[in-house]
Amino acid sequence: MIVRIAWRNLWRNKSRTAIILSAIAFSYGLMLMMFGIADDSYREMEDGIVEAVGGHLLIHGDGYWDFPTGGYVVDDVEARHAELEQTPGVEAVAHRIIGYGLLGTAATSEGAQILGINPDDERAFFNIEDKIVEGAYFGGERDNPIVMGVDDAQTLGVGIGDRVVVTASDIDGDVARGLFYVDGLVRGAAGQAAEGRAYVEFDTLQRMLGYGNGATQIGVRLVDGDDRHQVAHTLRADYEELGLEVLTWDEAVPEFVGLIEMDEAFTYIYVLIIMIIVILGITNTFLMAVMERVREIGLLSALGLTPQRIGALIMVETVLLTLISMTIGLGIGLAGHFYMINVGIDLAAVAGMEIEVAGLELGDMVIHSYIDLGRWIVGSVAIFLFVCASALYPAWKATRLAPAEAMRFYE
Amino acid sequence: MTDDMKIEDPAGDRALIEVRDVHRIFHDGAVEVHALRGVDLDVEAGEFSVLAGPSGSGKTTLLNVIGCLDRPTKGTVHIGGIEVSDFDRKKAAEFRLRNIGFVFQAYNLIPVLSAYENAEFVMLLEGIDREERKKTVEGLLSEVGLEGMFDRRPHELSGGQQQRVAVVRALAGHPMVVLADEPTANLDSKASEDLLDLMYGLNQEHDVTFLFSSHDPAVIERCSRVIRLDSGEVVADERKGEE
Repeated sequence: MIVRIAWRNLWRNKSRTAIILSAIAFSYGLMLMMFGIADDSYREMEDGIVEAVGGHLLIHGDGYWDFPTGGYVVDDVEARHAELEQTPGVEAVAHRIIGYGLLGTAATSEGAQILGINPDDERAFFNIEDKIVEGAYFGGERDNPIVMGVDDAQTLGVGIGDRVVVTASDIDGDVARGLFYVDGLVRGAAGQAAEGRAYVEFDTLQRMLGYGNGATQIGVRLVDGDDRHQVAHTLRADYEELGLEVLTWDEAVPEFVGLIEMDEAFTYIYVLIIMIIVILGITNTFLMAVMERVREIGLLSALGLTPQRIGALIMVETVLLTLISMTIGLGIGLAGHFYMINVGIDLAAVAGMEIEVAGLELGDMVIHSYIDLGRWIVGSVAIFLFVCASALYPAWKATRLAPAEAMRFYE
Repeated sequence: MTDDMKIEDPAGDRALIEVRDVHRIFHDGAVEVHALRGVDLDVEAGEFSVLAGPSGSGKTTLLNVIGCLDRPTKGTVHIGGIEVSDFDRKKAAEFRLRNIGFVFQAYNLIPVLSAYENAEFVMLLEGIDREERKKTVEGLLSEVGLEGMFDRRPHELSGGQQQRVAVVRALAGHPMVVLADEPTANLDSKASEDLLDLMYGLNQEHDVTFLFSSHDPAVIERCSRVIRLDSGEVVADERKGEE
């Protein structure tokens, strides 16, 4: 009977119910959309960072990441590579030599990071074909091929097939030079194909810089990136004895993690502010509804409804209203979610500029929406409890109404 | 009284309702208003009585105190031998539910419930099963002439019909006493007469005690006992047919 009365009470003042219902539904729907967009942007950014740093896990000579010079080497890299491929949870492995130096022509030179890579291994780490503007990604047509950024090529005045001299410090700190031929030009974009980087074949750079059977870095891509800390922990047990450091991507770029946490905090604060405004409105409206029904509450009390059951009546009304509102809000949130999946937001177009986070370009990121079920459930439960809490004061007021006084109301 | 607060043996050797030296003082800011001043009253089971008096005489206040809707500032009220004047609000509500039926002057019905639902409301709260509710409520609603109106909401009923539903609701839970506060105040003379006939008939047939609060001459005329109040005191207690 309480539920029946509560349900019918909801529809006594349809316009008021519609206003509260809309406020809750839109706030809840908006919150779900914000969560979807935020979670997708975090995922996109994480993917971009993983691509940019070269894997979920990075293995170097111990101390390299703090002081990146040629003195830190991963020895016997082929053996390490083979071990890592057999490690549970590992999807792909790529070893690299990272050098710093100059790309030069007869006329000019340009500072750059020179990466020695095995092109086939790197395909699992970033999709460079998408970024090729001209030429090929190590097409096999030239000796000593080099793939570089379009802007760098323009600065140097070189095109496909032209010669570029790479000058870099070798493992002993001496200057080493090599002649390379431009094989492909890539656009500056998210991932490792940004400007100021050039790619050459691993074996060539290994010989040129005197790395022997070593490398600067081994990048590891995992089947599930969320397992990175667990896999890193396992690897450290053996690799620390070999003088190697094992970093997860978030340990390598902690600024980025801080950025996500800050953004999450702002999202929560924003949602909290919206909900406080909505809740104040709901409390006010429910209080009005209670005060309008003083006489009726007095009647219910006179007929034998205990104060607890009168409070329960108000709370049941609130719960029903909240459930209806949240169902509609869920529809709004899902509609926004699917719209964002299909259309998305091009961050570069919105910002009108390149976006860089922690020194990594994220300008071509298109934000869609992603449902993190856990966050949606926690958010939904929080909204439900918040809205129900907003009726606690009106419900308490209703329980405090003395029946004799309430019955005199309106007389 | 049983655990669920239902009075099973109302009479015994005591009056059904015993009011002793009841005072009720209201505070309006610094001003004290003495609504009741040492009222003593006994009401026997099966009576058809009225608290009569002008506005402000204290009749509604006394009815509220007897009905556990209000607590006396001083004095005691016993119903069926149970002292009800010190009940807290929860206990008072439970006692009202099990033992007292109410008919008020206006706004008597729950607006969102139909006539049938209003009538069965008290029985539902008491936890009486569906079949018994149906039998009792349909029987009583038909008895008071409301066949075919079971599904009507209060705003679809006349004032007299609404009061009849309220009477059915008051009786449906088989209370020891029905307290009726100005039940005819908003009715025309014909509707008032019909309602009084109905309640008197129920008093006679079901042996339910009725205690009215009213200044309506028609009510006073029909009651077998008239307790007159003035300025919060009982100034006369007339039993018709007694010399």
